[in-house]
Amino acid sequence: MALLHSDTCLSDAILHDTSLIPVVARFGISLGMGDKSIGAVCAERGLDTDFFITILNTFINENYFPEKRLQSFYAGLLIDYLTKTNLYYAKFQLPNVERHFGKLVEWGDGENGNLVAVFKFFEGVRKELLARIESDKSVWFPVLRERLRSYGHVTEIVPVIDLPTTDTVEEKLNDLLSLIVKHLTGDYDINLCHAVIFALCSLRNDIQQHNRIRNRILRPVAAALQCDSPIISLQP
Amino acid sequence: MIFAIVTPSTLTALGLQCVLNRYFDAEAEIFRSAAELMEARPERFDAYFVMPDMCLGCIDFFLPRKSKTVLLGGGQATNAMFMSLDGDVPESDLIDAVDSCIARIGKGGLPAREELTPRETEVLRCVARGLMNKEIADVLCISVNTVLTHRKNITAKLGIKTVSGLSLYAMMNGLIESC
Repeated sequence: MALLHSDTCLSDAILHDTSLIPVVARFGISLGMGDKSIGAVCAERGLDTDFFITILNTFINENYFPEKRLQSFYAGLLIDYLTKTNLYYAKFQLPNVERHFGKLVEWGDGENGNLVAVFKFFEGVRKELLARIESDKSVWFPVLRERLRSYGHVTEIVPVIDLPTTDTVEEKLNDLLSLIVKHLTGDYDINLCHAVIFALCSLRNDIQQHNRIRNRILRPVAAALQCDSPIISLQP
Repeated sequence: MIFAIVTPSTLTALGLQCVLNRYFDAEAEIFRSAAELMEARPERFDAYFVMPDMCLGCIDFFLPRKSKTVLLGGGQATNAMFMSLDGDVPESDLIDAVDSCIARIGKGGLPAREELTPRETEVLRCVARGLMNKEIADVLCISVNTVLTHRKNITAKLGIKTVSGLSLYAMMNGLIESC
């Protein structure tokens, strides 16, 4: 899909790529936005238009990830955004997968043992993700905010060399999808199973985007804030 | 298949990447220089689309891989030793030319997925039981490198990467007792 701009009609963009719905929702924008442009919607809500558009564009174009542009935003904005995505996973996407999965397992009186096992696997991933969210909320993000308050805006950052190349939550969600799509056996309700797959795909894709920002943008900022390297230039 | 595109021209690289993705369902990673490619485990690629000067700069690497190396450019890139791809042609001709290169590379399309071999199944059982690579090597009397190769093949065949995912697969397929 072509890149979105300030004058792009937001509802057209959503109709073209419905994966934007949860992203838009976490910025507090409800459906029923009519034909308003992205710029107009942002102005109404007091959102940073450039930041909002950049986030949407990274979602709709897998290969588009403008690191320099994202690094140019105030780090607090990134933390706010990641906080919102975390909240969305905890309050909406995880419960949504769990609700569908629960019904899928219940179907047929839980006789499909493979479904029960796969559901337990999901429960493990859910707990791991919730633990990370809690750690972000109570440890990492507050420390980062505090450092930002002390030092101001980080204008030059050093790339983190030892970036994690894997994320266990992301990998396990991929495995979970493989287990269901490629290896599931026994009887199951097709509609419920499809609903689980769609919900899991949506969560997996969202977490991939979250992790890109987390690992490639926020982690280098955090590294810069936690050391006194002369390469770092801080704007008071 | 996974290709490396080595050229400083982002436009050329993106165009070729787009053609490879769209018409050949192939992945391609872009490198702006041969040095950049050399730092990225270059041997993992199935083939290389590379500018002639960059090929010359790393001839020690590309010469042994001449059957998998395609020089980018028109007539000037023509070289008896390497295949070449002329970008100054209509789209359909370019696609045919890429098709012909891929056919000559001899690996058209993705490798077919296969069942696990008996040895891979044994390794999978050990992984599912929570054994570390060294322990698996000791139990099966093979080297750690062989264990790693088996694990890589298992992941490629099953589409499952994590130990917990592999354990679940093993359990679902009766390879280990359910806990």
